[in-house]
Amino acid sequence: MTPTPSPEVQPLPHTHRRIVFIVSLLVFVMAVPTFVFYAVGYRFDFSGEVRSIKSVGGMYISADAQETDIFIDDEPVEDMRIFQRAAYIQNLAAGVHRVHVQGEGVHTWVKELPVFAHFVTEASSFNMPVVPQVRLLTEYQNTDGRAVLTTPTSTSPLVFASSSQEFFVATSTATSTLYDVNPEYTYIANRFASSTEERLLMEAQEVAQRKTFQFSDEAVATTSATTTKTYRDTILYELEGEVYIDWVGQFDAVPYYYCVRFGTASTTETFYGEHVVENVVAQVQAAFTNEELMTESEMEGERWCRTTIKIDNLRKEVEWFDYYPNSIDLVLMQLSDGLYVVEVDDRSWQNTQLLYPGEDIKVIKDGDSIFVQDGTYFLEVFTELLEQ
Amino acid sequence: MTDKAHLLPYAQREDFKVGRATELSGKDRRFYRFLEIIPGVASWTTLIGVVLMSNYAPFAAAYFIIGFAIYWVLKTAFLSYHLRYNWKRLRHHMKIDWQKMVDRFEFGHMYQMVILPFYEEPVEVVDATLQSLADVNYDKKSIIVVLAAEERAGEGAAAVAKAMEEKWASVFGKFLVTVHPKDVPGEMAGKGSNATYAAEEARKQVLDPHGIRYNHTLVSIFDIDTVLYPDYFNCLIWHFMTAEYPLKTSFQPVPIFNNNIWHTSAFARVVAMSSTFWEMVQQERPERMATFSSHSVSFQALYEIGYWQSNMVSEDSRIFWNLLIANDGDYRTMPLSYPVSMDANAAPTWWGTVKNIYKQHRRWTYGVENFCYIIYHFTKNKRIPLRKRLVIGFQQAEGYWSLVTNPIMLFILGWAPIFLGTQEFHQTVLSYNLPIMVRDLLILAMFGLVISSIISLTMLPPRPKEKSRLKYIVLAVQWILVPVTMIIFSAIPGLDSQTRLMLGKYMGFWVTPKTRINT
Repeated sequence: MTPTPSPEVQPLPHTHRRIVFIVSLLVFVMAVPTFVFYAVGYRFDFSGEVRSIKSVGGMYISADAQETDIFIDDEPVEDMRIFQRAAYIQNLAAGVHRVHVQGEGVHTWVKELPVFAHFVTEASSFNMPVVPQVRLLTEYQNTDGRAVLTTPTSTSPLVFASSSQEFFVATSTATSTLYDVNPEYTYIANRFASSTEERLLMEAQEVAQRKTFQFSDEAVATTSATTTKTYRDTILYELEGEVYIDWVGQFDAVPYYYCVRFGTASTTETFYGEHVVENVVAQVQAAFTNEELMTESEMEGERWCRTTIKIDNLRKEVEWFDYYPNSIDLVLMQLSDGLYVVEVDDRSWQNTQLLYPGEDIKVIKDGDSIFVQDGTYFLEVFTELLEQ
Repeated sequence: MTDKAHLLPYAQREDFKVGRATELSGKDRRFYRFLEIIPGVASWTTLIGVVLMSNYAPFAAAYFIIGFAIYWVLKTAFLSYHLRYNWKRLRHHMKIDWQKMVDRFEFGHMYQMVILPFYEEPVEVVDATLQSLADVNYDKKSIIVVLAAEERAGEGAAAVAKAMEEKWASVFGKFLVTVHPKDVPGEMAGKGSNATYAAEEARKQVLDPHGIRYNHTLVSIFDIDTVLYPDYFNCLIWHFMTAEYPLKTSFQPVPIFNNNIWHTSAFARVVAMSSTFWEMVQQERPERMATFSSHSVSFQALYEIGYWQSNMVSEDSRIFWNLLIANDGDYRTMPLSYPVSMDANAAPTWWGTVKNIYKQHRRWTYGVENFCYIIYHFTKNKRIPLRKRLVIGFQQAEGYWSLVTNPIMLFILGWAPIFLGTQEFHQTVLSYNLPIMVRDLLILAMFGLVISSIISLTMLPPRPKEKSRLKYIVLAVQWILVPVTMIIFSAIPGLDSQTRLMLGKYMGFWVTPKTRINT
């Protein structure tokens, strides 16, 4: 009898399928708690003599500036994302960590921030150019659109700054007949002129307000804001020579740096700085009646948020301030020695970076652009390094 | 068919071929309507539940999503294991000399009846199918071809049928053209009603006059674009002769939608091959298998239940459930692991193709109406073993639920806690790790697609001369579209179908246009 021919490959045996299924089930049962524990922030510690499970936290640092590197505790961070200049750093032990973001030609941003087990501390760095990046606005331009310098000089008027601009130096004084008037120059010159009028008007109002309040009530005479600007659920204002920013939007949408996670009173001060703790405690307590006044010990273990942050003016006189273009995290401040960019985030300290030096300058913000009048020159000041 | 004496006892019930709740009355109607509502409610509840959970209980939602992503990776690996095995078996079966395999059997008494329902398909599509039928390694005189036209298709279809009869009648043992009358009360215009009419006409005009026994006739119902491989009938007869209960068994080939694969869009190719792969996976777990699309079954079995249902959409799978329930659970599907080729969806324009794929898959996923039918009769026919009823009931419920919810939960709602979660949640390591972990797990699961990509390349028909070799690269890389196709052509049409059924807005039969694009 000849052997019965049959397909050599039989259907997948039921026992094989059952084994694969059971193995898959076991892997699932073991993998789920393992993955969940890892995701929550538990790590198995192999480093010590006694193996143990430790809790870790993380940091999320965003860095808007191009060509910068992030360091945590002086160790470079490798995990920089492609589309967003930000890094999420895991496996950080609870405690204070020093973060700095640096790059060639830009100011270094430094901050010491606390990390808590199972939580992520956020921060946003900024890095302004060390050498001011400017574009000179000239009154005239030639037919190619190139700026025409009407004051012949052997040296560039931008000796302290950097610009990729090409100039055409006029050899004749009859510029109005030989060259076109630069409409941008005219516009910006007018803006500065009206800005001066506005300033004078506001200063007069300020004086009048002070006088009014001095007569009516000495106690509140100095508690009225003068210049006030609003942008994206925040108010930026000057009060008694100091600049403050208030969050006025939904409380659950308050930016992270308005909030702190309280440990004990001493650790919280170490984590965030005394000024932050005092500020938060004062604002939280102010929200309660005297009978229900909340003590610092009662605030332990919780996340508390305030709504007002003072902007660091380096103990100098504030001559002008505004929001940094398209941001509620940074503020432009003209102090006695130049134009600065200051971060609102005051945890540990506020980074302050000089954008344009000068004691006798005027500043305006026009849309997303920043302009400076320095003597007879009108300049646009850039916040990023220009390509040379 | 008013005389029910020939039907199996359970098939004689008035409600045996119920199509929808409105065909019943009283408690049965309410119960059936309740069953129609369940799938849609379950799916919507799940999807809305995940959104609400992400908002109000983001930690729990995150744990669930991590668990679900791990489940998906393991499921992908599990299915890929089945797919790879069936691919090996399929390739081997295609190499076997089935003629030699069946030589040991005496099967000269067996007849192969091929029912080809068609509507408005062009003559070249019908002709290609008949050509492949004429090319099979089988005695053509044992083949009865039933070309089943529709009266509602008008003169054009009649002309196609006449031309085909003139061309092919002499090749086969019998060539019967039937014309299913339009507007028959109680019928839904569609493939089921046409096939049932054709089968009964074939019985009256061919089987009975020639004394051909029903249990000696194997019926293969093919979509009109089905192109047979040469040994299909030898493979079929081998399985029929070796089956333990051949008259209580349906035989399922692997439908490969590749007739026009070189001329379709990437979306159509991925969707078509995905459907093929799903059937290949099912071939390795026959206990979960129902008939789908083209398949074969004995005439005896069909006759005992009165053929296909004429009042619903997904008749190709419903016929299996009819047979299972009428036979008190003593019925099964046997995988052939042998292919039949069919058309991938193709329209003259890209957008037209997308719309056709969507409508075709909505029709397929409307197979959820089988869930109501199965559960309804499982509560009525207590002769079916309880364990079998429970297992099948669970498998069907899980299948239709996961079809709709899994892709949406995985590819869209997996990120919901990050967008909808509370401030407290956003500060946690879990919130930051969740998208990274889900992304990595999905990438791991995508390795299953590498297997799919390799297998799909081995199943391509010869490259047309006008197509560049670079097209192979496109055909390999196109699998990255799977997350999109799973949502657009599986989950959403599935949700569409379940919602319609839930709301009692019953669907009709939509005929997939069979167009051969040769550009």
